[in-house]
Amino acid sequence: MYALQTAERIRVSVRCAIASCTVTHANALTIAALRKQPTVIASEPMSASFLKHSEEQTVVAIETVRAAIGQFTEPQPEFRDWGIVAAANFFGRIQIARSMTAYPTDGAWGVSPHLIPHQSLHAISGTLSQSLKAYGPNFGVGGGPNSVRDALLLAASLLADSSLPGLWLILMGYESERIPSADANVTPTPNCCGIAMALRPTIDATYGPELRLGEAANDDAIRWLAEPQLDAIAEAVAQRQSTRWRVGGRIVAELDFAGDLEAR
Amino acid sequence: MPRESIVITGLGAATPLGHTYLEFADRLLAGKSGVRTITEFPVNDHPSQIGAQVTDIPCPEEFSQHDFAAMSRLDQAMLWCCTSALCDAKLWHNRSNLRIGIVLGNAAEWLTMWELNFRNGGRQAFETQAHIEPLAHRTAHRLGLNGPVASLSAACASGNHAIALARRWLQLGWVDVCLAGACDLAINPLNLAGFGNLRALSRRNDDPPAASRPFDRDRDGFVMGEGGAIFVLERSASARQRGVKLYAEVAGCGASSDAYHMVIPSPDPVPAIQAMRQALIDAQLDPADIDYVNAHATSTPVGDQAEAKVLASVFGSHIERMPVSSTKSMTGHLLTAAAAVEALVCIVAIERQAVPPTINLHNPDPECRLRHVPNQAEPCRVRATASNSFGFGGSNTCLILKAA
Repeated sequence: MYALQTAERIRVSVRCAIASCTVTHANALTIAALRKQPTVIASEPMSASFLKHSEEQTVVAIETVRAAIGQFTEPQPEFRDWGIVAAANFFGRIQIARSMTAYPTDGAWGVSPHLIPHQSLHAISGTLSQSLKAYGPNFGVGGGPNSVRDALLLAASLLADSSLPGLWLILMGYESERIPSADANVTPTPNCCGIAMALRPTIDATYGPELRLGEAANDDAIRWLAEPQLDAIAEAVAQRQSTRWRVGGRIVAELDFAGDLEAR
Repeated sequence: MPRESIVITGLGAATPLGHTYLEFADRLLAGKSGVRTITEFPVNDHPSQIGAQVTDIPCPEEFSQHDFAAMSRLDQAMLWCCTSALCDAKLWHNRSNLRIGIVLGNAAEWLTMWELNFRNGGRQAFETQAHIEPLAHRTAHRLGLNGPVASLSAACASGNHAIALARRWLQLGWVDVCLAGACDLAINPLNLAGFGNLRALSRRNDDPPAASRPFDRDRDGFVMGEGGAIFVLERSASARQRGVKLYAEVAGCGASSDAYHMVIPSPDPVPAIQAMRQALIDAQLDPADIDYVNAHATSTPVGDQAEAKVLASVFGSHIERMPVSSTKSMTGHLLTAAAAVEALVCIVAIERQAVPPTINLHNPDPECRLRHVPNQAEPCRVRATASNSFGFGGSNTCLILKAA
């Protein structure tokens, strides 16, 4: 255990170095273009139809990871054994709404066989593991209105024992709630937002950006902290702004871009 | 991170074989099938018309019948499982004084809710949903728990991930106790049609109890199941101090990805082998220490053969002696909840010193050369078990439980 946050009475138990992180915003046109020409992020190019049936958040997640790889400040690591944790916002909602609406007339044979593989919560992390050729564990998180607190908890705990060399933490959502239109066909698409963080376990003290999770000594120490929302994390990442949130129980997550939380 | 021993001290289950541990264990070892024709919605145009459904989920004594009846079946199942597990662990009355977390495997929560609502004339999917709390979080509130909460999905491997992560939360000191497992009631028209059109499901509609037949030459796909199992995990030291029953130790977990295809298992067995070997290393056990394997084997032609190769590679000559069965032959494939219910199967094997059968196994596939347990349970010394769960998205997991 580390005692970096004595002033705040937070006992830090997991520290992850942020090797790279970035935020992407994509509108409907950009998503359509990315879907037609999948981003190459591993040595093997993916087929042109690789993302044909993917949910929009999957398409943007891949582009976000590509952008994050381009921002590595250290030599780019091998991702072979990395894990992937991907949080999504109401994943698959549009296709589910379309399928539901069509089912009374089209019946069972009208339901796409791609619905479950590509529109279920495991799809972002599973598709990314294929794209990156990453053989570490992969799973999706939450899938409801706000999944980022769950994702911060689970990603950090996966890295806690240093058995993984690294992990991609992906946080996805929309700038406003994406609600299917009444006929479930024409859907106004708010901008999709993706955050990708390449995390590595940190055993010794480092001086670079970090994601830290720890427990506050009591409720008073965290009473003033907000729960994390996607837009707040996106802003913190884009501005390289250190900040902290409560993520459940007395657990606090800190994004520290310059060690300045320690200095406070 | 301190490597403390983490044990299971409470169980809760809602399954096609029963909603109490005793009922589940008795039916499992008696080789009963929970598969029947689906009658909850019209299935005439579905390629597969059968499933292992959960019916009549009991209301926990601690909640009002009226409130319980107003909940969705998924909420009912989750509440029943969590309450039963906390009561079983003798933690119900002390729950607000402890930091109790939840790690839940669940994938179909929103689809199930929207689809049921739509079938009943509602428009929930087309309205704002941002105010609705997810299942794991609202269950924590209903139970008055104050620890961290998270839900995840690695498809059919979800429950093993949830148990592994809950163990880690305990080792990190984030919680005193953690509820972990998986719960999903995914037998609904869209899922049944989606899996059916993927040609993943059995079409043996005329004989439902005989449809799920893992490792059998005549298998033709899996049978959908539903339900859940939730466990109370705590540190061994505190459990021993409390003097409660220790069902099993969560000894080891391993996980990997195929990085190959969203649906089809990789022809390369190495990633799945890796997950099993990681679990053995984590448990500090040799392959020969494992007394029983609960196979993932869903009854699909490709998947069962692929797993048999993985098992042969991991266990070497021990594979000839070590019993392997797939209890999906009785429970159906509970998808996101499968791994959790199969962890419960392993606890039954340890507690009853008997291995459950693979029912409907009359003509073993020669490509699946294993020490099967066909059709009847076998008394057996069981100290350590391994349970495989592999999922869409290429997830491979293995959970090792051992007698505590």
